[in-house]
Amino acid sequence: MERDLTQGVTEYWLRLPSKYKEKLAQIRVWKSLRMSTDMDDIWVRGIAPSQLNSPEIRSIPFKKIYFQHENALFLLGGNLPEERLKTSLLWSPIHKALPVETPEYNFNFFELDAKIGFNMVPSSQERLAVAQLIPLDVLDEIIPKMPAIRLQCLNWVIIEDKALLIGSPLLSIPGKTYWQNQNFLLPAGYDFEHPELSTYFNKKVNQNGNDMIVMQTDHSYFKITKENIQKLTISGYRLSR
Amino acid sequence: MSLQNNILQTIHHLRTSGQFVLYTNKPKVSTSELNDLADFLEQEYENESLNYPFAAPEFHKEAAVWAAKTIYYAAQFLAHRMEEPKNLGKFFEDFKGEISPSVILSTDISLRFLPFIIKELEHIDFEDWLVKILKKQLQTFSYSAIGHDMNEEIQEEKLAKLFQNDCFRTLFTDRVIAKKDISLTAHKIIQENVAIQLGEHSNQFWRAFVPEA
Repeated sequence: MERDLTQGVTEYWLRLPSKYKEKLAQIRVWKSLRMSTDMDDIWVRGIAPSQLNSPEIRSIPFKKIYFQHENALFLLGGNLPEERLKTSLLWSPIHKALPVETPEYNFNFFELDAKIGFNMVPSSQERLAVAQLIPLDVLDEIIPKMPAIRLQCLNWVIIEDKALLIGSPLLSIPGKTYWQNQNFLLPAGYDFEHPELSTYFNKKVNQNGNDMIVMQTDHSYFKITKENIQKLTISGYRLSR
Repeated sequence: MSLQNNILQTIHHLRTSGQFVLYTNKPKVSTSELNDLADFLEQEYENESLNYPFAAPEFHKEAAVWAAKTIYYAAQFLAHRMEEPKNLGKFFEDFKGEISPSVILSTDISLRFLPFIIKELEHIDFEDWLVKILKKQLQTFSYSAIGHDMNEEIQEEKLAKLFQNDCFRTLFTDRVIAKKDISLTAHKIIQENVAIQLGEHSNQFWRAFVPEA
């Protein structure tokens, strides 16, 4: 009985005429692929069997798929060798061989003074609250009665008639809670409208990185110098009041 | 009369650097030395009580001085002593007075160093008479022995009475948690209070502690 040659094949080769080079854009992100050019053809190897039937590969037109058996390349589904094994080709990773070009400058674009707002939007992703804003008259009742173990993981700073406790786990008392994102404290339930810009905002607002930036739900913010954030102790609290 | 106040020096060194100097093999203390010592201890107590939860009990002068004396003698006798074992008793009298949270917290200013001295003594000679005397003193002041594996006996009724003071109860439980003295939580009253303080975070703060359902 005839043996199935495709058994045990671990990679497939793809051949495409050079003029259809752009059609490879969609598989460019697969870092395992390697690419080479031979006369008028482009060769791509390293296509895994699991990738072979993916829409990305199937949607490439004018392609030919080969598999390797001993020293010959067989057309997929064919029983006779089509090509000799390409040994003289120089292979390079596909994302290097197909560099991305930036589009040309659009001279008709007039929105140069457009600005991106430093906004927050409600977020459905739940994160652990690490800070809590509590009025001082509430804390007056509570702090002197707290066991040491609950205070030792907390830091604090006074902001007008409120105190911001930072740490985890927080005390179980009502108060506005905050999430942390780098140096930002965001009100719980909110996230940046453009999270990828937060590093830039941080650099812009907080140049030497010495401050914590507390965001407010009305899109305003205030800064706290990190030096002013102190360990929370009963004596420290009593002396501050 | 010497210019140097040895007992004050010893306690001061202990409190500031955790060390003490062996001055003499015949320790003696004078009244004026003790008065200076009492002032120092009161100052220390006041600094420390700022960090006490609830309202800190009053400083108890006699108790604090008694504890400092005990520590001083224990320290001086650590390496070098002339006294016969039977005569040691006159240096280490029991504290005469009612044990209250105020007394316990005032003595703890010095007595918290006693377990270290006892361990050192045991290291030199396990059969030492002094060890037995000091351990007996520590029985009454179990607060100072928390976390040192002294096998102190806890009398639950007495402790329950002391625990009526919020400040002392919180401090005692704080120390059990801080030193992670799991053997003490075998006592129901301590177990309950530790469970209350840890709340739902017991798993995070103290994994070995399992609150009883």
